[in-house]
Amino acid sequence: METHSLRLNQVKIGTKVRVVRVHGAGALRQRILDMGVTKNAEITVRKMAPFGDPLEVTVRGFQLSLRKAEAASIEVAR
Amino acid sequence: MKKGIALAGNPNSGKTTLFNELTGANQYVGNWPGVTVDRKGGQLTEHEEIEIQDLPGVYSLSPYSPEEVVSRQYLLGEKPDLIVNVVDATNLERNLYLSSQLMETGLPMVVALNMCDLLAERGMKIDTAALSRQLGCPVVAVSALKQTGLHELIQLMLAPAPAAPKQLQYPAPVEHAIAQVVEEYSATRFEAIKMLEGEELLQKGVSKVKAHALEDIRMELEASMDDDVASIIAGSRYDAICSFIPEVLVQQGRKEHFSQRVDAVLTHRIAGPIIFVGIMYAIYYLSINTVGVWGTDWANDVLFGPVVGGWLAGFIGTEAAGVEALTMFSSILAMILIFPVMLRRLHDLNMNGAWLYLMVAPFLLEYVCPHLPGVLHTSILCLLGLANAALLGLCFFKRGVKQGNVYGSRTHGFCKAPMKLTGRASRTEFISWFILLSLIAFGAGMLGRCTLACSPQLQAIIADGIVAGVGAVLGFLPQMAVLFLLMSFLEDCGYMARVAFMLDRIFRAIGLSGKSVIPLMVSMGCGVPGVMATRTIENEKDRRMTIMLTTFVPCGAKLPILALIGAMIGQSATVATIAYFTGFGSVILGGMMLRKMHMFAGGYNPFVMEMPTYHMPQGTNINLRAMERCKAFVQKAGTVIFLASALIWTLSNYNWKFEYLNTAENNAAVKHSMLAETGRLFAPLFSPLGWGDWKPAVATVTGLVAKENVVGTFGVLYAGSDIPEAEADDTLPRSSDWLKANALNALTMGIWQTDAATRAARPAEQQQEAEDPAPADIPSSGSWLLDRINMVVAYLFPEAEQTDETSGVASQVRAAGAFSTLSALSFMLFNLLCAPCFAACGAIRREMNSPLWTWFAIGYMTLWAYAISFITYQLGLYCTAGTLGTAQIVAALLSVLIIVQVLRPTPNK
Repeated sequence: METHSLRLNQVKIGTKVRVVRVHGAGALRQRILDMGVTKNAEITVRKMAPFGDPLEVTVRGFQLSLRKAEAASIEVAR
Repeated sequence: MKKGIALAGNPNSGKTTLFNELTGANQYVGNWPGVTVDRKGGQLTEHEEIEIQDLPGVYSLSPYSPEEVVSRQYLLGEKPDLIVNVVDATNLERNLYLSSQLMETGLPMVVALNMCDLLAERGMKIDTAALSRQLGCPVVAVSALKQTGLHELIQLMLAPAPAAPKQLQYPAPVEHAIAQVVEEYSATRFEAIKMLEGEELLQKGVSKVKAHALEDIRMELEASMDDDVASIIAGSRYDAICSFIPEVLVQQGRKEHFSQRVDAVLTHRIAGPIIFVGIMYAIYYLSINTVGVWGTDWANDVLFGPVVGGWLAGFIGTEAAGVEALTMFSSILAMILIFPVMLRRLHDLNMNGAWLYLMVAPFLLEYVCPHLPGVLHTSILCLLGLANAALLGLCFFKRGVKQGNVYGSRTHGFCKAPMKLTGRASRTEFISWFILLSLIAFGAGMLGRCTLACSPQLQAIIADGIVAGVGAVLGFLPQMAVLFLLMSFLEDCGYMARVAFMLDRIFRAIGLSGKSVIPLMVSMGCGVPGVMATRTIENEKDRRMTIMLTTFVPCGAKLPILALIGAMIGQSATVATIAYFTGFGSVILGGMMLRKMHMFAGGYNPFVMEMPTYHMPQGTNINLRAMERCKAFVQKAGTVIFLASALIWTLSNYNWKFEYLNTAENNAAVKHSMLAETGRLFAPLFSPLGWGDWKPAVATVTGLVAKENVVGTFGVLYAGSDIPEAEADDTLPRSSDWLKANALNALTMGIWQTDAATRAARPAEQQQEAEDPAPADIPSSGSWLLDRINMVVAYLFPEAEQTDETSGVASQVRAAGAFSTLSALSFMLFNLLCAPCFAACGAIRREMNSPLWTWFAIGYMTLWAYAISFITYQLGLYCTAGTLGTAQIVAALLSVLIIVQVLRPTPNK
């Protein structure tokens, strides 16, 4: 079932999504949660870095950059 | 009784600005104390009984990052009397997330709502009374930048601590679970929540049975909320905060702010990298090619030439220095001595901008005025004179500002170090120091007429050993100052985060992160600021790795070595290409290898990073930071290079019986010196690399003082070699093309030109340089990058390279027959990659802040250099001459080993 869910790294640039669940474990996950990426938080994917990896998103009114690998652990819904 | 106050808050919320203003920037900056991050302490101005701790910025109190651990240990362990929670008003939700955790510690708290002015610009306002009601603690709106609201904040800090703030209410199942844990373990609310989150640190004292009970509580909570505890708690906190945000934040006018529009350009997919290259070029141009070099040239050609040199000759020599040189000497000395107290006096007058004038005025006098027509020249001189007089008049007679000063209203006692940069100076203090220091400077200048006629030996050790060494360091300073100022500006305005964002992808591939790019770029000019630029990398592993790799990049001072070897082999462009490939290749391979070593492995460094909003940096902040760095550079790198150059001078001028050899007059004598003897001892170590003679070994050692010394030393050591006069005359000027090709050489030439031994070896060349300032074959465009491009062009079109075939030193070395093509190549690679010059080693020592790590870094570089040279030489022998022996097999095994280490998967940790 998890494989079918939409992840943040699959979201098109410019769209606004809602966080369903943050997967993963440990320090990285805690960091993502601490930054405000929690259940039901709204995220807008802003842009991709020039060489295609880190993403820039807006969450809770500020800009956050995170790598695609990290974005992949964030399950979202439109 | 001292009262402890902790400043806590998110990174970039303006804590340090606030701290500097509260403490009058009387901070003792603990640069990375211990191993991790800094916590700065200082005293509230005018209230020394209040000790303020500036905690590192954190997003949460979880115990993961080093910053979090430091902040948490201080708050829970030392229990300050009051927490001042600095909250960035433009980012309320995320900042209050930390506040909610601080509130749970049960310590009295005051919220300092910072950056309210920025919020107002975006058409929003925060109702502080409502926020205070919600949090149950006092809230003050401040602007650290514009110094508003500080008075109220200080009043709150002085008043008896307020009652502990109230707690945010979480959903019923969470509250129920917290209550259960509190009851079961008699824990505080903070501990209970952290235990629920599953923190090992707090669970250590818990017995197994009780641990099971905790597990049950957690399971129950997870079942009722259909999520796991960590995200339930984080979510509950944010939900609780969001519930009152609409009440607190009024006039929500949503407009895309300035930062995002700027960002759309600066991190654009195509324009972004181009702008980045442009900015880097501008920084180079300003610090390495123009302003910095002007200052450096002046330091080398004027200050350490006729001025200090003349004074010294007059003092301990026999020839009294001229009045002009002495006047200049005393006035420069007076300016340097009075500068700190002048700066503090300007703070006292609330004229912080005037430091810029102090910097710019001498520059105008020295560089701009001489090029202007007479009338303009005179009028500018008059203007500057008037401005100086006005400034001095103000400093002498105007009363200080008691209130509203950025640096507080406390003055230092008279005897407090006159060299202190921060704080204030009162009128009396300034006048006293001004007179006293002027007299000292005048007196010191007068020493130049003493003509003590010391023994030539003492004169030589002071002039060639000590002054040459110190001059070499101080010659770097103007460039450093410009670079530090520009870098501080970029750091403060928020661009660095964007650079890391743009280039992370590329640098991650080699085991570094996006933030490593700046040090590597800077190192192409000079390794010392390159190493220092690693400061902006927060992650400790990344920082250490970057420090270890950044000096592999061929810096400007290594260019003469390339030129020498290129001329010896007769293939300058090829040699340069090989050198650059090896340099950057070493960074890449080194990154991939080190990442797999135990100490750097694992600990995946998340790139979950806040992109701060752009803002105009505060001048005083940048200034202070740059000056602190300059001071640190002079102190630390200065002591290292000072001792090292004195040591090498001594070693090369005495034999083991401590008889003075006087190499300045007798070049050949150097082969009896301690340096030569030691060189012979170590030479066999280098014979596997193809150059087991003592001369290259000695050159390598002198190269540690400054890399161009390798060429100078060769000039001295191979001077006796028999070469046809005509050829030498014909080819001498050409080496100077290379020397001019890089502006940086000019500055490091300081040690070279003052080094009597090399000066004696190269008189013809210097004469040529003077006669022929603009050689045609390599256009001296003044542009550093263009010269590199020229090298590439020369490589692609070999005909253009013909003129640069040989150089004087190279023909001497060739005549001596000491090197084959292969061994010359291996010699060059070793010198490019091995331990950097002492100045850079000093910088590494300073940035690593640990002798062990410094030696590890230097050892790693030297080993790597040895391995690469060994492989190049031995496998080269096999390929060209077909030699096959143990050495070749070892070399082949070594290269296989390196390949394996590079390719093997990263171990899990």
